Amino acid sequence: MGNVILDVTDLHIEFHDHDKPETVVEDFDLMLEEGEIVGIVGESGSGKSMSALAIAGLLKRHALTKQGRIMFDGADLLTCDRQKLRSYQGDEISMIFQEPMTSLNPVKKIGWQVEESLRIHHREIDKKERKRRAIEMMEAVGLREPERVYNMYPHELSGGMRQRVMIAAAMIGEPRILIADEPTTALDVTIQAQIVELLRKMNREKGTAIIFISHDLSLIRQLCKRVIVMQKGNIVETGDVENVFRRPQMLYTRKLIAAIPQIDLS
Amino acid sequence: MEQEKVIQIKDLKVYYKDHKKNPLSRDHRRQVLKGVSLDIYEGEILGIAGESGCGKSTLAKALVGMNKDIEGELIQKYNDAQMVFQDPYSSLNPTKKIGWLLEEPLRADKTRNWTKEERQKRAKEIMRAIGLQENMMDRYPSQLSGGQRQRVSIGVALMKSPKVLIADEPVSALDVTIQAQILELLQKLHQDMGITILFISHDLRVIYQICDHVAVMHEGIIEEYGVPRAVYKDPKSPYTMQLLEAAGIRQPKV
Amino acid sequence: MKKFLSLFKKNKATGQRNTFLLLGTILTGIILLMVIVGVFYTPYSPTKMDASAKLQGISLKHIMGTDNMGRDVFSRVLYGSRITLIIATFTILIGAGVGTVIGALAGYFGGMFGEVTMRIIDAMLAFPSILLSLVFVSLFGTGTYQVAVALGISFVPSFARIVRGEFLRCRNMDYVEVARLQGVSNIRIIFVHILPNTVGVLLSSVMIGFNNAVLAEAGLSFLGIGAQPPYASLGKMLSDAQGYLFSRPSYVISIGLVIVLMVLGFSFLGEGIKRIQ
Repeated sequence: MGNVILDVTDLHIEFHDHDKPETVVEDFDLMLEEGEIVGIVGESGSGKSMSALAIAGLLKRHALTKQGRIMFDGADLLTCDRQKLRSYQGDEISMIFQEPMTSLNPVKKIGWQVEESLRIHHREIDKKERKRRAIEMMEAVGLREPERVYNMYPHELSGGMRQRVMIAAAMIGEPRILIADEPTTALDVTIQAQIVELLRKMNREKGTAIIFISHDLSLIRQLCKRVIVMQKGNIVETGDVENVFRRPQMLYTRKLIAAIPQIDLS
Repeated sequence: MEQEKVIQIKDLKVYYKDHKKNPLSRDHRRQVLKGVSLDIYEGEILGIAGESGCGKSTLAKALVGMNKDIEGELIQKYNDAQMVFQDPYSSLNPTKKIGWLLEEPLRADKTRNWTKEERQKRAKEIMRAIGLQENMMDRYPSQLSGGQRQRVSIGVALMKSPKVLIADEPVSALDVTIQAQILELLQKLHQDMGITILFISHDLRVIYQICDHVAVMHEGIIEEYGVPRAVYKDPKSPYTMQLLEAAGIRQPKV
Repeated sequence: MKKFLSLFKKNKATGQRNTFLLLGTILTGIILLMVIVGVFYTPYSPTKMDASAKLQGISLKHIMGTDNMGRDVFSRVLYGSRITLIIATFTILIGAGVGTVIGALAGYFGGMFGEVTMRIIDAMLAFPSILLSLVFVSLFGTGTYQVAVALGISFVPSFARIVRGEFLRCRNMDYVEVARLQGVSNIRIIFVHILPNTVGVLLSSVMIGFNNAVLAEAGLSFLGIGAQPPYASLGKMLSDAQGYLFSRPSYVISIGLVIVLMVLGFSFLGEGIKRIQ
């Protein structure tokens, strides 16, 4: 067993912006080991993105209550002060989102956006070194002609390339945890496969642990070892991906699996 | 028995305006469909597979007359094809109630005059056919879930009982379990009403599940056509192979 | 009626009350009541001067005091709000009505027609609206309704721009394509399918436009155009009163307050209506 780097216990998230408090996540537990890829699967409204946002420290502080513990590096991300949380965000814990068009700033050059986390967390690195690292990272995520792309704007890139840029920006600080929230949903199948392959490569080469969130079980099966199935804010099933696929215990998991059209070519 | 063709497409070319080029020059158009030939048979579900930008939506729009700049032949047995769009959140007018939306095609019907009672009766029939409660007719689209909205979209398209239904990525924006329900609904309508469906999708698994034939499109041409099982088992074109591998249906050769 | 009243009660689902709607209705109600009462009854004649009672403060006899010519301010306000309300309403009806139709057609059809229309609108926008109104006033002559028409026309361009923008956004929505496929006519698509979707934006601009109309009318009154003395709109009265800002503050403040209440009432009403959805 590897080192546990992230330990989430009893996470509760409740919204208060309506008359009645609304529980969106209940009893969420997750232990993430170094270099592991965990998948979270569920449909919209299952609370999978909320849990991820909580881990990334991106939940707003008002209009909701959070309970439980998210232990990382000896600190509880739910209760630690802002300063400390900021020092982790984008450096030790990074996140990429579904829509690569809206998560990039349209008026900033690609290079600037890839470097951003270095600029914030590693002020000691000078401009030249920053650029060198950015170009290196852009090459690593498979962007051809990184020198040219460095000076381009988001609208000049295709969806797949933008998502690569997002991954480069998330990975440049060599985070220990990368949270990927439906990173391939907005992309074409062939590009999807390439991005999944890229995440696998990042995990292998840099040892980054990945929390991969998706509604697509077949995608999770391709990438992850362990899977968490969520429904209506609760974890309904968790375990080894192949086990869950072959012997789903819960009705909901079976339903999810049955919804994937089976193809038997033999 | 030879099945009848409801739509015959011969060497269809569709052009879009290219905004990067001078609008006065002779070739300011960009060819999006580069000569597509395809037959659609009565009562079948034909799948069109491909990635964004391959021209599959352009083909659909050409069939319902939404693209004007076309060359080639387009013979339709019935000229009543209706279309269902991908995003159930933008294909229903948010300011109108479900019942109103269903009745609108009949109000706009130029071939006959529907009385209010006839319109309502038909709308109720369709509500039953798409598996929704009658009391939902008083609701606004925002009060419905994504799956329910897509059912309404399909219902609106079916109001005038068309012989051909074109569904452009009708399940891509939905959750997997909802996806399965909508596919089931389409199959049921196909059986009950004998409607011919042109099913456009990037998801090869879904196409395999419900389609009688599949046409794989790539960069404005049809790369491959056939029965899904045969095509998936023995793809002739390298692009089809690539798609199948990306979807995890075939394992890449090491 | 029951449904109308229920809009003011606490919403059971969200537990929130539509405060804006409530306040807006009350304030607008007060203004309308004043205008209607003013038609039948004013405490004094709004035009009767009294040299012995110049610039009096607030008292039971004159609840808003008297002006520089000894006329009862409250009576004049009752009369003036009527003129202001009529001018502002007509201005908005003309501006929003014509502007919406032009903007809708230009936005929906686009192409050459849309371009040419919008360039004409742009040309109109290039002139300050007060100058534009002056040109029209010189064409139509002066008077309450003439001013309303002149202001209305000068308000057309901004409404046309806003509505065109909304139509450009909506025109490519799938539900418009769906309607077209069903054989719905263009005119029906424009007015029945798309227009209700622009109501939110249109309503806010009507409310802002209403306030601008009150102010623009005051500007024109200042130049001596509009309601002719001895009658005056609220704007004109305010500009008359500003000279006595320090010597008799209650004079300015009471008129200003009525304008503020009027503008605020309509803003709240607009915001409240927007929140009904």
